[in-house]
Amino acid sequence: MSGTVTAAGTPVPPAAGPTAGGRRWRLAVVVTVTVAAVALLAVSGLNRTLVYYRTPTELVGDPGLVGKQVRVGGLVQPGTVHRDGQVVRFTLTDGATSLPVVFTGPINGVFAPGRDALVEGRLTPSGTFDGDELMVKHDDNYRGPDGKPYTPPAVGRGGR
Amino acid sequence: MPAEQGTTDARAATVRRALGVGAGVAVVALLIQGLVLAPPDAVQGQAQRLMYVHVPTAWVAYLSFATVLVASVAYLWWRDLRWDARARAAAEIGTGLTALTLALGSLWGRPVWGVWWAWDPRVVSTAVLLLVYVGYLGVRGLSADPHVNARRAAVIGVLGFVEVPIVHFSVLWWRSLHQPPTVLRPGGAPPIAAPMLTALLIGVAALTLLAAWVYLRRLVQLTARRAVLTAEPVPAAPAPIHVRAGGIR
Repeated sequence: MSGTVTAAGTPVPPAAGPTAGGRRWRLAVVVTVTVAAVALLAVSGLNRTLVYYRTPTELVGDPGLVGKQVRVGGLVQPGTVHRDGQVVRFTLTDGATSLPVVFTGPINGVFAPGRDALVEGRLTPSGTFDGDELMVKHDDNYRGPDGKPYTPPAVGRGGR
Repeated sequence: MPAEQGTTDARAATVRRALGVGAGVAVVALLIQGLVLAPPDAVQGQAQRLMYVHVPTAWVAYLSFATVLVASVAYLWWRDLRWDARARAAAEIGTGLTALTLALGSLWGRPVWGVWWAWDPRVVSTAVLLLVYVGYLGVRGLSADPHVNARRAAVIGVLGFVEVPIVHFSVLWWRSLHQPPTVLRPGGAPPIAAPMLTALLIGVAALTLLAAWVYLRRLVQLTARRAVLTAEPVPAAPAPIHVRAGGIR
């Protein structure tokens, strides 16, 4: 090495990383890709997320939706559930409109009359909904098997 | 100064140990209350017990990201890398907890909803939350300068926090498969049976203590690492007082 004695304790800077120009290029690419991804999501994907399902009234009231892949949600009307092997028929209601549903396939959730369900499929011209995916929506109540609704203790106004 | 530092370190170690013990006790209590004492749900059955971890991981993740927000603002204000370390440790914990929330939600969703995944607003916004803070951790590696990394991360740490209320309110603002909140709800008493609420609250305590314990231990690690990186290197041999003839050591 050279004859000069480096001052003891001078920190050696770490090896230089990518050049400033290289880093700027990388940053520009990342920003462009991110903006493009967000735009794509906003235009296409988000609509199916933000209107996650239609109600039976909305579905039946929009003739343009006949035959289109759509999700509908409502209450599974008690007394309307009929199982025949892999096929289950039931009526979905939102209180105003009743929608007959035919679903073929395994039921993986806690599906039962009196609970909410979401069905993905198509509305046939005859007015029946042909379902290919079935999801159960449960409410925000949590109670034990005795099924009694929770009554908070009568202290003050009842907390959050 | 070394003596004072020693006492401070000892006290900090005692606090960490106490948090660790507290977390351990709370976890045992959670297992007992959550698996044994709380009844299975009338609608959801045994799978509902996952709620006693799933909900606490989500809430403590929110708390972690709030910590990131505060520490990021503090870093941007004072440009002190100690705040950056606090933000980083909190972000690491929050990111892990968010991933865990999604995983447990998936396990819970399959037997109850019927699906492992749904592109509903709550699930999607939580996935976005995870991506935001993975991004936070990712930008820290782009520069060789710790202050540049800290500044970029801090900006994400501040702006990214907007996703937290979006996740929480997603089930109220939009139609979703995920049900609305039971405890953090707009009005009325939480419709949850007492032993179940107890299990949930123990879960919150356990996760909070665990997260605090991990946070403090991680801070010790980050602080030690930063001290090593910024310390002046010890000379390999004592500097010569006289240069020998010829000038070469």
